[in-house]
Amino acid sequence: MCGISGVIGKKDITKKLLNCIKNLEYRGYDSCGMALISNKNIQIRKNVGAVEEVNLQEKFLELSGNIGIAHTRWATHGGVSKKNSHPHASCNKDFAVVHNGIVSNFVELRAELQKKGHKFLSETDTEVIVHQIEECYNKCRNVEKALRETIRKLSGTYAFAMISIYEPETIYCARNESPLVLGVGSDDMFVGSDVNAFIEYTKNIVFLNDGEYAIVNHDSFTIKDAFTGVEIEREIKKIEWDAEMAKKGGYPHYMLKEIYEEPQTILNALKIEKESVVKLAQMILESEKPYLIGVGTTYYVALAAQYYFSNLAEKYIPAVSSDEFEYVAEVNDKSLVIAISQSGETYDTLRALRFARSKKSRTAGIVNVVGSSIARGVNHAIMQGTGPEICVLSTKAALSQIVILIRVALEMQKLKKKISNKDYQRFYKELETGSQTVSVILNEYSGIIRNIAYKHAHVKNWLYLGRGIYSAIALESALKMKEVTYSHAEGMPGGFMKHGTIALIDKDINTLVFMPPKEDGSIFQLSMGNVEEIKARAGFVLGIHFGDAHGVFNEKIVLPKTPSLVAPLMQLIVGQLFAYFSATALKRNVDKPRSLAKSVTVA
Amino acid sequence: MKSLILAGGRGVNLNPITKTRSKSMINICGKPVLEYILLGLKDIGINDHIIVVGHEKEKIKTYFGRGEKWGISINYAEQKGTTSIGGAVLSARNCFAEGGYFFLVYGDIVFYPNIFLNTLISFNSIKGPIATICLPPTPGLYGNIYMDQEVQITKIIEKPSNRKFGNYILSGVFILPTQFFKLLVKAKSNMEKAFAFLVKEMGLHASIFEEDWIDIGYPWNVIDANKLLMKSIKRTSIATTAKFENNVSINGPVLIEDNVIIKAGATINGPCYIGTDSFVGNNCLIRENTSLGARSLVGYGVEIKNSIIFEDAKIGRLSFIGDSIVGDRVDIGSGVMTVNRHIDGKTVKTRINNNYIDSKLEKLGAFIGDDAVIGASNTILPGTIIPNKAKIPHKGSI
Repeated sequence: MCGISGVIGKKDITKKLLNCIKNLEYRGYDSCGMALISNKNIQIRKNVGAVEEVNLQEKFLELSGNIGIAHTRWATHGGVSKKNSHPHASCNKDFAVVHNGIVSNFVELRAELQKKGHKFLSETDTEVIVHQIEECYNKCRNVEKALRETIRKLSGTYAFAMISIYEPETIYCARNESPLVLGVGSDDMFVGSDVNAFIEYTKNIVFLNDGEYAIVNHDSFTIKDAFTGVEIEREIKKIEWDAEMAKKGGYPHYMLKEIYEEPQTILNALKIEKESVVKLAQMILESEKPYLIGVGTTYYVALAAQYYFSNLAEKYIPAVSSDEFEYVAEVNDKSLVIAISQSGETYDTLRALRFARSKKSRTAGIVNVVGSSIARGVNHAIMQGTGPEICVLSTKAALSQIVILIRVALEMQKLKKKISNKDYQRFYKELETGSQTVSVILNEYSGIIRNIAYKHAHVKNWLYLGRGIYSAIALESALKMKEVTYSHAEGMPGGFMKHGTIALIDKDINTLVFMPPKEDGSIFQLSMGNVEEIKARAGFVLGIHFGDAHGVFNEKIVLPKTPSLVAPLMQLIVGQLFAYFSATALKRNVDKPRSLAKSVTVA
Repeated sequence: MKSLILAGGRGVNLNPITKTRSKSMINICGKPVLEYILLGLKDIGINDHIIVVGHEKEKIKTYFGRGEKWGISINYAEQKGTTSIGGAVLSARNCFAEGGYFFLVYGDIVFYPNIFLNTLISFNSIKGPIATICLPPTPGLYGNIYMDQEVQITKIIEKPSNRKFGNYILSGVFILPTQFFKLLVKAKSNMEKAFAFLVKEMGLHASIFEEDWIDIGYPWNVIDANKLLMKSIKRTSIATTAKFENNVSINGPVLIEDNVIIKAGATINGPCYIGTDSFVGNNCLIRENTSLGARSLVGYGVEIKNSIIFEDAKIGRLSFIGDSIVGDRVDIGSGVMTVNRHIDGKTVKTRINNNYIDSKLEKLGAFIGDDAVIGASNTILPGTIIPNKAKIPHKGSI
């Protein structure tokens, strides 16, 4: 998991290149570096740390040139060190490469190259790429040919960009199962792991597919098939959102900004074209075995959606964690695998989809990033239109995914003619009003949630409970808490607690209970039962409820009355705010928690 | 950009501390609150200041002068015949030429880290009026600032009638256009109304400050502020002129100024501040978050924790000062105890202007006014306020 970028132009591009990797920092930020060609020499500066830190030490802007590549790293092979950071150069420093992904056969390749006299300076898999290119070039004296031969030798996943002193006016780049896009500017051309890299300079983008490489000059680009060498036509696409949207504005963290965008997120999800939603509903109805898959937050989104499908559309669609999918699922040409992924590049989910396709299953996706591998690889993708999510933790994208899946469930029921127009309209109205309720929570409850979070931020152990769909909310909220505060939070269904976990309850573990509205019936009463059980064991209970659970909690957050359909969404948002404020109380690195990266593109 | 800092406030709820000084001159860790504000502004390159003074203005003028000592420029405006914030702002109107923007800062806020940097960053990205907002540390202060997803403020209710809601409040730091003065005149010096006009005419963006911030309203806020500023002491710094006898133990970050003398057997647990020319006697225990002002004299075996001792005070042997404030030149006899909690664990209430106000703190000691003399062996109960110049006789049993 890393971010790569490259810029080539008529004038000096150093500053633009630096901005590009800054914009990609959320993909990885343990080390970074840049390589530029000036006076037919490749100059490399790199070091350990986030881009700003490294820039202070290495002074990137002292470099100059009109062609360069850059990298921001999230270590997979080889520790975090200066020598392991990218770019990597060949023995004679004639070539430099930045890479994202994993070259799975790098051990063999390295041994082979070492035998031929290549000296390796790092522990990374990346270095074999650049030495291999050099090796091939020494034989054929043609950069493009050397690149193509190298690609044929590589196994595994990669997106890389390469510069060479033999062709100082060209950036070469290639991809296989790792993301890579080109940006077409008026004076410059860009290469990036995603469009965030260069969105402030151009909105015209070109997607690369697996097994392709591109030859990029300052005013043109050519895409070719890596195995046949045949040129491929590709149209330029225009991105609709702008760089301003990807900036923080007056917010202290992207996480809070993205939470504040949630009222709009709901409205955007309701604006997604009906045909696209109906199509997925149809696909589900046509399939004998539909599955919902996701991993991390998106798995919990799938879990929540499971309840909506059962309750609204009378269809049980099992939610499976993507990483376990191929070991447990029964997949054939009658099944449908619906993948949920914000980035559309999630390794585990891509792998599950590949498995599904190999079994002739149909596939669908709910994806936020346009042109991402999942969006392009499935039979039908619903684009979320949530806008970029920069904070490593998913907040608004997760909310949007749930709203979209509610819509799919409603459309299924409509196709089956099992829902009256009146009920259908009413549910839509409730979703719309839900957006306003989210505004109310943000504008009138933030202080209450913050003060409770600050008071209990020192608590090391949390138990998050909920019943019915609220169990999914509890699991997701616990994940948020873990990700951003590094405190232990365990989510589970309320009924499950009695069967073991209750042994943990004492004054040292706090419990957070997500209460359903009273009209949800039995799960309300049963949730209250949980509270009593915990209190009987001297446990502390923080309850989040809708004003109908009285007098039993040690601490409570009372939300405005909300219809059952959208009540879980409100609880989800309170869970997000509670995690956010707990993290700011602990002075955590909110937008980039330790060990986490935005889209996990490795196994 | 110039700044306009309001430092004329009387702070009626802060007696006896503010009877003899303005809120902005409360001395914490060796510096008045206003100095932290000026240093914060200097950090981001704002060096030209108009300070509005009123209550105890001479003390401010004497301390800061024209700002030469800090390499900044200070001019003063006087708030005459007004106690409202809007009136104070207007009294500096003539110091600002029309056009452009200025920093408006309330002179009684304490923050860490630099709140002005956040404000300036937001201003640079939005290029329009900015109000820095934050969530208050105590539920009693909730306001209601409504904003849209672009953090454009839509409505400000500073003191909502329904206290069950809790939301952002104005932090007292703004970047405003000079047209604001006109709006303020139109609003008859009412700040809330003037902001409403601004929202309507030019827009007002929020900049959210998610770090520590305190508005000094009640005496115990000074103790909170002290604790907050102690966070900025990251490592130990001891003046070369300070003298320690053997067996002095220093733990955690402390700031010890010139000519301090610490006698044998004393223990200092950081974060702590010990001002110039102070004396700490044998076997003293100076615990976390103690700020000892210049020329303090601490006798044998005294224990102090989470307290602010202003300047030139004497604390007699075998006393305990906890969660308290001790004024300038206070003379505390030996064996005086500030009791800092009730035996039933209830929060401490303090009588302020004839009302009992709940501090919401389980531990709170005493507030001792300037020049008070406390006789030996007295026990001072939680939340007690002792007026300036009070003389409390010794408590003898024979």
